[in-house]
Amino acid sequence: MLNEQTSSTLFVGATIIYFLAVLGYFFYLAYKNESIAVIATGASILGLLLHTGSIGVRWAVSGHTPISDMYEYSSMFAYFVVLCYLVVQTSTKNKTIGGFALGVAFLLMGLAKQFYKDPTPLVPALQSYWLEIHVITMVISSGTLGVAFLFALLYYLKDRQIKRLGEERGLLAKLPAINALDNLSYRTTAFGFPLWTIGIVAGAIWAEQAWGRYWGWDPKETWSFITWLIYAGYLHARITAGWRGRSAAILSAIGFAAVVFTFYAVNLWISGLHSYAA
Amino acid sequence: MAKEIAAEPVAELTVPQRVWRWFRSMRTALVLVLILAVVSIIGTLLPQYGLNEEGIKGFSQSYPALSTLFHYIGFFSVYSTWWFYVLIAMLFTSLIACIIPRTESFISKVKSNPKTPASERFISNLQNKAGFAVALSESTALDKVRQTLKSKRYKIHTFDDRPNEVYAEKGRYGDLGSLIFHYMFILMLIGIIFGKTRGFDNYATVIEGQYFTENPFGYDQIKKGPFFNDQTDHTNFKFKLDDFQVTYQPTGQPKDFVSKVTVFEDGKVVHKQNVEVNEKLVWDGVKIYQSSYGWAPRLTLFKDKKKVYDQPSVFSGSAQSANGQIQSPSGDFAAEVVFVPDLQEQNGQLSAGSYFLNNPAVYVTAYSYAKGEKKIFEGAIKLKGTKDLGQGYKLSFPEVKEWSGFQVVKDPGVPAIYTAFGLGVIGLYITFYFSRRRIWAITVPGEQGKTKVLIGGIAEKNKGAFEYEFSNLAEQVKMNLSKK
Repeated sequence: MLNEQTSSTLFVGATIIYFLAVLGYFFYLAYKNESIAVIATGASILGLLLHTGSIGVRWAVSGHTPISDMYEYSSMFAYFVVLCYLVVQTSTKNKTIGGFALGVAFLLMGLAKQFYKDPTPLVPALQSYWLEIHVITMVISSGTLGVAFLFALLYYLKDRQIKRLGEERGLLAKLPAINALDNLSYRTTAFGFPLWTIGIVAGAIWAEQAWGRYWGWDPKETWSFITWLIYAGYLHARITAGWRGRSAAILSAIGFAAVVFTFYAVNLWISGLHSYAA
Repeated sequence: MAKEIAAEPVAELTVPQRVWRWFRSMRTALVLVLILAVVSIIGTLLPQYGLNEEGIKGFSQSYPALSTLFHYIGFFSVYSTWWFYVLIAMLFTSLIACIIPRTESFISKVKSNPKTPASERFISNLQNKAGFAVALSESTALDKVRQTLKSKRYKIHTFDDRPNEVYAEKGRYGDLGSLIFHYMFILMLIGIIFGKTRGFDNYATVIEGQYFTENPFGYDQIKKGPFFNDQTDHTNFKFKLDDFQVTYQPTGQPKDFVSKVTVFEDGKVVHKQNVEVNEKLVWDGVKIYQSSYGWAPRLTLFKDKKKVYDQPSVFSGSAQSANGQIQSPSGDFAAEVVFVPDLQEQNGQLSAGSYFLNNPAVYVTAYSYAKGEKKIFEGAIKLKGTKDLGQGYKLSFPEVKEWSGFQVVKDPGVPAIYTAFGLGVIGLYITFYFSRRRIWAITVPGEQGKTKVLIGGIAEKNKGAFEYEFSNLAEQVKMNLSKK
């Protein structure tokens, strides 16, 4: 019998297995043990399957795509982080950042648990196919921008180590080359920013369909716009003014902080039209 | 967003030239964007008019002095203050100042292939370069370079008069994406201004069985643009609210609320539709959105057996309990009325129950003004009931209807804005996936009969990423050259 309990159990199972995958990936990073990497990858895939089951069951139980509250959103966010990471791992054959990516997913799962609530039917405002278009675009884009931030963070750590010690050591030395990290961070942002733009545009079109205006300076709208401005600044600094390395990494961190603020802080602290998502 | 401008003697510049120069600078643009971000943040941290008026009241009570200052500056209506508009105007000036020179340089660049032959010195001055000495003939070596470039999807140009040179490029129209994206903002601004000045955003409540007419008298609230003419620009079409229905989830939250409407033109039925939250009605360029709803009890007032008032009226409040007033036409009778759909009576105590029409009743407090204000009645009247209120007044409650609140919007700027959205997405796609990269390769005779292959390249955007790409490319060229 499928019920919400099944979904919760699968969710917990996925969370535990993601955690094991994190341990495995870090063990691999430290000792370059290929068989551990295979196990970690297997665990990620198994976790993703359980996670798929958890989302699928909740979908079936509630009768709508589970992206309508903070629990569902965070769970979906983690899901796309793992999925994106596995795609990147398969295409680049590089498993060194697995521990970080799965670590982010694990944290998001923990965060989701904090927001847990039983599935509720959709309020009339959300009963539209734009819910899927708008929210999924936003989720994928924030996952991508999160990965971009991860690359920027690793770049920063590596850069600091090189400046302090004059060479790369320990775990950091095993990561992709420093310039590759910088470039990867840019590339991921260059993928995430257009998606963020599309997400805002989809939101504007939906708002025009449902509320009679495409823009209303609702706090959530405004914060998505602020985030957009920060990344627009990042890209201009990078493309036109040639910023690289540390300063770009710091901008990427500010940008991702704004992404997180847009999704969580606005719902928790500021009331507005998007507060049904809380 | 423009590149650095060659230093000119500043003294010779007039003031407008200097201002224009300031607007052309990338730094100005970034500073303006930063200010816009900060100002927008203020607007989300402080309550705003039109979004959270309760919050403004609360803030004013807690911090009276600060709120006076904030009112004066406009911090409670950030997005409609004069200084916000000035900021937007400055941003657009900067945008235009940046894209004009970029458009010019795009046009001149896109037409040309390099005219001067690439020399050893030219390549050594490029940002990215590599050189290899190989035991191949010059033409074979160049062929291999071409092969590698082709496999990387570069477009190859060969010059008849320069057999030892290859020029290749990728993403020649890359800059077009950025131009489209930036021009898109101008279109969007035009759309916003056009829509806001020539449109309206009104609100109308309609009771079941009644008509709405799209003219100034049909509305409860009017918010119109300065260039919308209330006398001539209304469409005057008419619709009837046949029925309104709300269904609830078991949790008590509304599941659906639906207005069934019939549109009339010249007295004839032309359209029937259910208007719901995500299902607007569009007629003659006017959009009608389901916005709110409530109870509309019909009350009939008799004075000395003569009917003086008989109509349903809009009550506001919650689904369980809503308030309204009635007044006799002569003005010597008025009543405060509370409507409850499910009146609960326990030990003589009256209270509101559910939102279902289980036991509808109105609780009436009636006043007579014939000889000064005097309360003449207080008590409940159930549906289909009648009560004597005293002084010859009788009130009956024959039926209860519902009203539906519609947001009625005309925004002629929307097509321009949607076009801008589309262009923006296309522009971004081109910008990020078509960056113009240029590669030159030449061969020169080297030592011991070997051939020296020199390869160099530049990118116009994202030079960092290109550096990485170029070193990969050079590696592949090297590998290909050493293959038999």
